[in-house]
Amino acid sequence: MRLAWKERKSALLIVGLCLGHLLLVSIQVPRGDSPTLFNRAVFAVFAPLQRAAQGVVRAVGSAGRSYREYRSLRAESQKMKKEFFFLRQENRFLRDALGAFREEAVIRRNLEAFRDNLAVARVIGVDTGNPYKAVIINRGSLDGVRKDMPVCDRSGHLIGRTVEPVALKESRVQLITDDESGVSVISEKDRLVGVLVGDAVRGRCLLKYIMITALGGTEGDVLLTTGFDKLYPAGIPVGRIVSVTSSPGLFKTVVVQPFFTFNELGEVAVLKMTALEW
Amino acid sequence: MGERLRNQVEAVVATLAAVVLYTVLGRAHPGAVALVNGFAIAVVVIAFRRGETAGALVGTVCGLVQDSFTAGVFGLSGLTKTLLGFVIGYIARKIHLGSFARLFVFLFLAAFLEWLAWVGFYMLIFGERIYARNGLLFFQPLATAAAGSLILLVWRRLDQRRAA
Repeated sequence: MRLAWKERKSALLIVGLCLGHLLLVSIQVPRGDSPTLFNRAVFAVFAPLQRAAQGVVRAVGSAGRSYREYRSLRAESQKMKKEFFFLRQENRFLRDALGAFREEAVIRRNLEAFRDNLAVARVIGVDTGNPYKAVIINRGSLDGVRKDMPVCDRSGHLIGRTVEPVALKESRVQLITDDESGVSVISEKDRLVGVLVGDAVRGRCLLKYIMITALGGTEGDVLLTTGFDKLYPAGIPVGRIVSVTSSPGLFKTVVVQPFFTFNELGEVAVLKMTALEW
Repeated sequence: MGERLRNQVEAVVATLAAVVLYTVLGRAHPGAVALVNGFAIAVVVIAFRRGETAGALVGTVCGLVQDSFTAGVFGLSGLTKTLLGFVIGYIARKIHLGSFARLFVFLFLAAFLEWLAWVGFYMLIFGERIYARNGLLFFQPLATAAAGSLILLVWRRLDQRRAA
């Protein structure tokens, strides 16, 4: 009798759990823009743990070094890194934006805002389903990070934008290689405008909606953000065209290799302004 | 320590260990999280040791945590890992799995079915091919079974030694 009740209890539990999951899955299909409250809660609870684990791993790895030497070297290195980081970002931004369409005064104003609104973050996790879709960084709402803020690598190349959930000290970054991401871009030489979407498989992107009759779009041409999408500020380098093929249909197939290297994504920069505030 | 409390502690430790393993592997190499799914290993181990109820509950928690770290549909891994925990816990009570080989084959079959269910749901919902990360993803059930069998055997030895 007791065993039968136990069996029945297990069966009820599994049925309840499965129904709960199916309900959870079904309310998100087709997938909406923002995650459920439950999803946010689980992320908020476990992301700090991930951050802590990351911290412990790093601490254990560096335990062998002398503490004093480590401290002074680290401080110096951090300072130089930060300076280098800012200088590279500024340099990149200045060069590309100047070459695009901004007046000097506008660029100057943007650069000032840019320096004050940069948060250096560390990648603490990758998407378990597909690493080319998203990464998790160790900066959150307490650091001023909000949804839809552009994120660049250490050389100032665009890697994506922050998306929900944004926890207190962690947030998710949707990469430009995600097939659901979209970036309005322009080619540096030919001034070809299109929408860049990820292929989510090889870490590459595709330049969409380039008419087969459109002139330009040569291999090696650099793509910059236009700012038309109201998500990313104009002038950020994104990638380089690697192949252009004219397939049957209305549009060309333009394959783009992003500038950022996935395996080298250690430190990134969050531009703490949405395009609307830029 | 009471049996119930011990069950709960084991479940919590397994979940935390899975998060740590996922973080460490993801940092070492992004492809490593495709091959070794710490969450699946945690579910397998707890389900085998503690039965279908604990297996299903740990499966739910581990699956949802895994889902919260991905950009996909929240609840997909939760569902498949709940089923994995339940099936392993239930069958492990019914059949004798003494040797490493039998344990390995059983865990491999269960992990493979869970993987198949996850891939199936993924393709059904997203309507696209799964990203196999140079084929590493196909070896995930094998890695889960190998790691799970090893952990269970070591744990069994430790229990035996403690009892002696």
